[in-house]
Amino acid sequence: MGRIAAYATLLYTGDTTDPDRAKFYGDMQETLTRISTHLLFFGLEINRIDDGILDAALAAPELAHYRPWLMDLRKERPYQLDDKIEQLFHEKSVTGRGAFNRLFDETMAGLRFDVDGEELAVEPALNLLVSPDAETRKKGAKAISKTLGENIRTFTLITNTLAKDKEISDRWRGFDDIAASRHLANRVEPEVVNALVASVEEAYPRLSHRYYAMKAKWMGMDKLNYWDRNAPLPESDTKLIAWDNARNIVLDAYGGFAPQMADIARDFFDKKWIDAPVREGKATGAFAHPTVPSAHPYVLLNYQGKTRDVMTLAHELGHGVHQVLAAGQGPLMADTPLTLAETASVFGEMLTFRSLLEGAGDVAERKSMLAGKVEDMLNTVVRQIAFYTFERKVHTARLEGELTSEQIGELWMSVQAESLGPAITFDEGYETYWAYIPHFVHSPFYVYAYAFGDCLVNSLYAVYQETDAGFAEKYFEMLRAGGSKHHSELLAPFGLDASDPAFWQMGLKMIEGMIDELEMLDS
Amino acid sequence: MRQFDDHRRFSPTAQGAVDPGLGELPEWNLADLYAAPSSQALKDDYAKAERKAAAFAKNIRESSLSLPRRMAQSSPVQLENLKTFKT
Repeated sequence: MGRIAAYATLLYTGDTTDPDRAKFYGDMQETLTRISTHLLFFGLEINRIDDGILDAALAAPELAHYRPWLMDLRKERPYQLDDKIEQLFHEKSVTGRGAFNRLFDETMAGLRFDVDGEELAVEPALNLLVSPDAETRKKGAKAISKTLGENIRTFTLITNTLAKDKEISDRWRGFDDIAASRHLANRVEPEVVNALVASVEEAYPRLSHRYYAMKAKWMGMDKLNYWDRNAPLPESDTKLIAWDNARNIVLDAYGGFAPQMADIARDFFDKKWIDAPVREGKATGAFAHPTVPSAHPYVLLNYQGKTRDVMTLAHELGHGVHQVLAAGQGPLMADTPLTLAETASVFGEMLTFRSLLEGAGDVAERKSMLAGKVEDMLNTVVRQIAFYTFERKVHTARLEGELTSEQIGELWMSVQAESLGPAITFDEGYETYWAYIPHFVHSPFYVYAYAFGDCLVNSLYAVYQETDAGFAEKYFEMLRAGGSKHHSELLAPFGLDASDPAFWQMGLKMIEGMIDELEMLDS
Repeated sequence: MRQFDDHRRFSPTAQGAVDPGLGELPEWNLADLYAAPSSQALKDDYAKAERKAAAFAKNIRESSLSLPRRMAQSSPVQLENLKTFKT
């Protein structure tokens, strides 16, 4: 079934506007959903088996192979309810949580943002915030806060309802913390997330506060307006990198780490596993699709020759290498748990970044590359942890009763000031900007996962820099494990432990180091 | 997946002609999965999935009443085969 699903998905993403492909894709989803209803009960049934019986069964050699998969499934067991209640929850979710998710999506899609008389949808409006022109950014920001403000009652209702809905199911299932069900789904322990959050929060002043003060200076301002935070830097590079060149950059960087890594990546180019050009109707963004272990992964890009596009190629090929190596685990255990899902991709990107940085022509180019990387990391690490903190505040406050739009806005603003620092001015409508972020609605508490992935790779890379030999073999061993091992087992060979705050501090030190270098180049 | 706020990785798809300075850009060959949406192999796999999923469910339902142990022992193998069409 995985093969058909992968084929239909890839065909469809190649041109989403082709009605034949859309129909083929839609029919596939319908058929496979129908077929898989035969299989849905299986996990629930396994979890009804008593521990003793399952343990005895696991002694059999043919089942021992599946131990990681079964043990993983068992983790859901304590929170599983009686069949009747599960069924009621499931059916009621269509008119409960599901309906409010849809209300959010449809409201968002219908919003228009008035910029100089032009009515923009949300994404083009948000894109104005990365315009090189300060006046355009300001107009975009004002339009966004105006429209969000006019609709804030709806977003407040959605937020209140979903937080309450979550509290109800958490209570029934016996989760003891507002984020506990997310941690379980991510297969990560609360103390690990706490260690991450505490380390990042403690580092705010040395990371974001310091960097944005420097950026304000570069832009010739005392303080940045919130709409200037993601403005392109004055010296951002504009030269184009041809495809063959991009290929060589990434393969050289991978090969410098280990020839085996370049060998695996080379297949993607030589065997036509990559779809690179921008085409009318093609899906936006980029991804690596593992398809099924008996076939091979495919990579989709929208390559336009910017340095960022080369980084995206390195990122997706990192996923691709991981998928090739993990395929040996078979379809039930090849998928990497969230905790390490972004490891290979971010690591591949880091190798490529370092290699490009070494080849930087002059100080200006080096500075621009470093600043770009630091901004990416702040958006992934500092920003996402601040989002997580905001969600915790909202859900905690909701336990005491409904929140007004003003209360949510105050929580949002306090978290922003704390995380981004005194070099950015937040006023004139920023208090409504929580309202458009879909993750708060669709996947509560998911956001820390982004920070987790980036920080983990930074720490891993720090170990790599200090190791003389043998790192690559351990690294491949980790990727080959796919989803068959817990993060503690995967990281142990590197002497790393994600529940130790020192582990996260090591990764954050690397971002600090880049900011140190920027300060040095600046003076 | 990244979110709107940090969407710079997902730069908006450019309109108009592709820059010729990029050289020739590769397109993927999906024939490694199936020759075409209308291919016989794909139709066969649909039918096989349907048949095997139903058989799997029936097998488990019937044996699980009395023998949960047997279910646990053989089922993951069957489920895995079903997902990849190994026979």
